[in-house]
Amino acid sequence: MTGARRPEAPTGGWLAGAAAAMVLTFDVDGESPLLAEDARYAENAMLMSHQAFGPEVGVSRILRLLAEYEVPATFFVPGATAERHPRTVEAILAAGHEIGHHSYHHRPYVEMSEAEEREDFERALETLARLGAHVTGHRTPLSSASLRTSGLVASHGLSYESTLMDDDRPYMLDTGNGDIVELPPSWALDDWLQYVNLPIGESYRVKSPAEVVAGWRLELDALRAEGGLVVLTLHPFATGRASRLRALAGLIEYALDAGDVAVLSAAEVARRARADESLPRRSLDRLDPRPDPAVYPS
Amino acid sequence: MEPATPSWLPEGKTTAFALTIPVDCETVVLAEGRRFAQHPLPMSHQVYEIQRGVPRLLGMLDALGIKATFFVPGWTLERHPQLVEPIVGAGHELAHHSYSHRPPTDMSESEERADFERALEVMAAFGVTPAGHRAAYWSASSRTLDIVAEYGLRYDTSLMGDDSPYLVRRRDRDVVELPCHWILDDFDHYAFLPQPRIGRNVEAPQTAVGIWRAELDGLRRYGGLYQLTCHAFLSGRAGRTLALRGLLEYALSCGDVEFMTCGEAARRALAAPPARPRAGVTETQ
Repeated sequence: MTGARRPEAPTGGWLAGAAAAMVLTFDVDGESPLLAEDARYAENAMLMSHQAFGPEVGVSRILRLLAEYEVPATFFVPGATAERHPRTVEAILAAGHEIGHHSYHHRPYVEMSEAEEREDFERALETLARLGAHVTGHRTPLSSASLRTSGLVASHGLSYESTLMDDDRPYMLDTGNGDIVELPPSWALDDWLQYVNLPIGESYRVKSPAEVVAGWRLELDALRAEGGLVVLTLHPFATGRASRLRALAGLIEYALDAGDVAVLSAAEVARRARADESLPRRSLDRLDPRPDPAVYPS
Repeated sequence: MEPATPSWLPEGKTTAFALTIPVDCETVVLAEGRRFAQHPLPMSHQVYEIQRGVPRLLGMLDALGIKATFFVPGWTLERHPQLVEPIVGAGHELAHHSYSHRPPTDMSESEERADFERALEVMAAFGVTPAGHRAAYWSASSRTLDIVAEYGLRYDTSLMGDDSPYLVRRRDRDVVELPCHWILDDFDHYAFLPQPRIGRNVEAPQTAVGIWRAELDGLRRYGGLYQLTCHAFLSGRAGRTLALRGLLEYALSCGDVEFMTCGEAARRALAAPPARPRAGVTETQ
């Protein structure tokens, strides 16, 4: 609530004395989003190769980068992608990083029936467990959470989700089905809108990595002054490209050199947040305004 | 070329800087379809400004000693009444921004009038009599300025016919138009939601502020009204507020830029109308 240049870095609590926390999350979507949209994309070799670059090339390059800087990361992998690229999952786990739940099919939950959503959710959990991942967190694909999704996360015993965007620090979410930690991401910290360009569907202008990372660095600096949480959402098929990964390396180096930024896995932030009773507890219910049809007729 | 002081500005000033902050909250999404109330992601994205965006922007304005104009739809005021006191109590202006944030261009005359009146009633319940109005999405209809004049508001800020204030004669009254422009709107630089589809582009804050600073320097040469629109759910994000602060500090350092609320700009423009009066949209078409 202060001007960004009036530092009031809290001590203790979920930040344990750091000025800000940064979480590198990688959504390892692979081919799943395209195949979920239209199975005929399987016949488009260019599209399939473009998406396969993520798990096949991007992830191994990212793992080397994380090892170089000795920082943890969280990889959200759809079940279908994990089955298609099991060695990618093995490599992530072997390097000691966290795997998170990112649905099975990478289809929008908000458009599913309750039974479809539950089936997809559980199938993803079973798939990741079979591949040896101990999963404690979830991110809804396509930012498409339904009003049931957070409750599924809670009732399946997961500790956190990283989907809703109403804050820039962790909070406890009362799902009506149990409490989970919310680790809010942000479009301002997502590489999709900066880098993703495909000759189908939605595409965005491809930006210069230096410009993109300068924006993320500004967000980090501003949140360092407030005790905030930087959740970067990165896609290996996008950020795994050479120049973009070098720009990301620059950001990691900057954060480490700052000396007051804790680079943590999402699971670790969630663990700390659960133990910090000063964080707010908010109900999911507050996000359902039940608008009057007379005011919003369509 | 040394620009002359415009008639409506204090001696030595070339440019009025009016920072306008819409606090639309959920209305922007609900206006796209009532069904999106069942989508918690866009709802969460919009209430960010309640938790963080508005308090952060207010803190920054307080630190710089700048008064801004907040445009808040009536629906948002009813759902988030705690917004009012921190804005009004800090001396900022609270102005009319429709009730539902549905575009007047999509409404019948009776719908538009009912929406306009309902917003006035909500504001009155908070003890606020707005001096001015901004149409939702700047989507003023050909009737909007008639309604603004009829209800006795001093100004409107939805049209783009100049970059200085101009008078529009409606219902035997002069309404001051404080023109806006897409260049000086953060929506085009920052807004994005996948569903409902809103925006298409997220720029680094440095890029957006670079564009805004170039327009400020340009306008300082010609003289006029620099009306910047920064939505609290967008520019209230930490890095963007920090970048905006840099722009405001630059403007404060210029010497020839005078910060004022929209109400103050309108009062000045009425007292000493700028040299290029306009007939109004309908008349010039």
